[in-house]
Amino acid sequence: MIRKLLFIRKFKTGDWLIITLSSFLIVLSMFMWWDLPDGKYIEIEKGQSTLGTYSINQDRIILVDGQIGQSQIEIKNGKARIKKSPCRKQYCVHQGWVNKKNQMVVCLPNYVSLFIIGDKKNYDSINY
Amino acid sequence: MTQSIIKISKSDHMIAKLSAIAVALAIIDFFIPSPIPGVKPGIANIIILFTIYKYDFITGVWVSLLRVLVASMILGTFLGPTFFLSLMGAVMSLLSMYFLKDINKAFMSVIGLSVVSSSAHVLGQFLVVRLWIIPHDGILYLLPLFLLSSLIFGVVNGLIVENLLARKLNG
Repeated sequence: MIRKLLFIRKFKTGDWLIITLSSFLIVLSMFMWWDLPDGKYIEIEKGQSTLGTYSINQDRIILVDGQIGQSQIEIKNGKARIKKSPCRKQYCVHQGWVNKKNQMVVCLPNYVSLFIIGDKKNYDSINY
Repeated sequence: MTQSIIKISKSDHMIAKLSAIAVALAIIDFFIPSPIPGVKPGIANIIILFTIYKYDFITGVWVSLLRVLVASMILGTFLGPTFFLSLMGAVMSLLSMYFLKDINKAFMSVIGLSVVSSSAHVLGQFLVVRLWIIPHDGILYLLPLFLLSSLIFGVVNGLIVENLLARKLNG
């Protein structure tokens, strides 16, 4: 048993240095990128067009007429969600509340999507 | 029968053998199921590190780049986004190895080199992803996770290479 643990001896000073440095970088990157800022506005889109931008701090319910029916978007306590949707699978409703910058809820069947944005909107694209 | 003009040296044979092992490992690597797409042990790096330590750096470069090329052709990702990710990862990890390979062996073993090269692999891939495939900062959310996995698998792979180097291999 002890003999099996002897592989620790193979680690030299430089190895420990690199492992420490790497762990430090990992923790640093966690602090940098896992702490997403809260959003300030929500933007509602239908298809390609923007229907409106609303402050996330003002509680309200927004009704959006989509492609197959009416979606209900609720803003409450600095968070937003799709409360009701006419779509069949209800993925958008089950996603629940979003409040972090750059998060989004998309309802493809109804062409309705809502984005949480900070001060200005970032690009959102996938290109090849 | 025309005679072959190209003289095939002993080192060519060696590169071919080592690349064949690297390709096999890369394909095994491809089929290992992983909870997060992209988090892979990267066992092909074992052979690259072994080559660099046992032979020389240039042989390692050959083995690494042949590995990327042949494995992508077998897996059908040649010239697709995955291929460029893999290529960039390989190039970045080779670069990091180039700068660190001459460090005194008494100070740093192959384990350190393994960790650095696997981290460089991840960082190179993220560079390509961020600049080209998904130009959005949201992708950086995954970076700590990938760096953590590169540290863990880097140590494991390094230990395997260490054991390989300690053995007497024939062939």
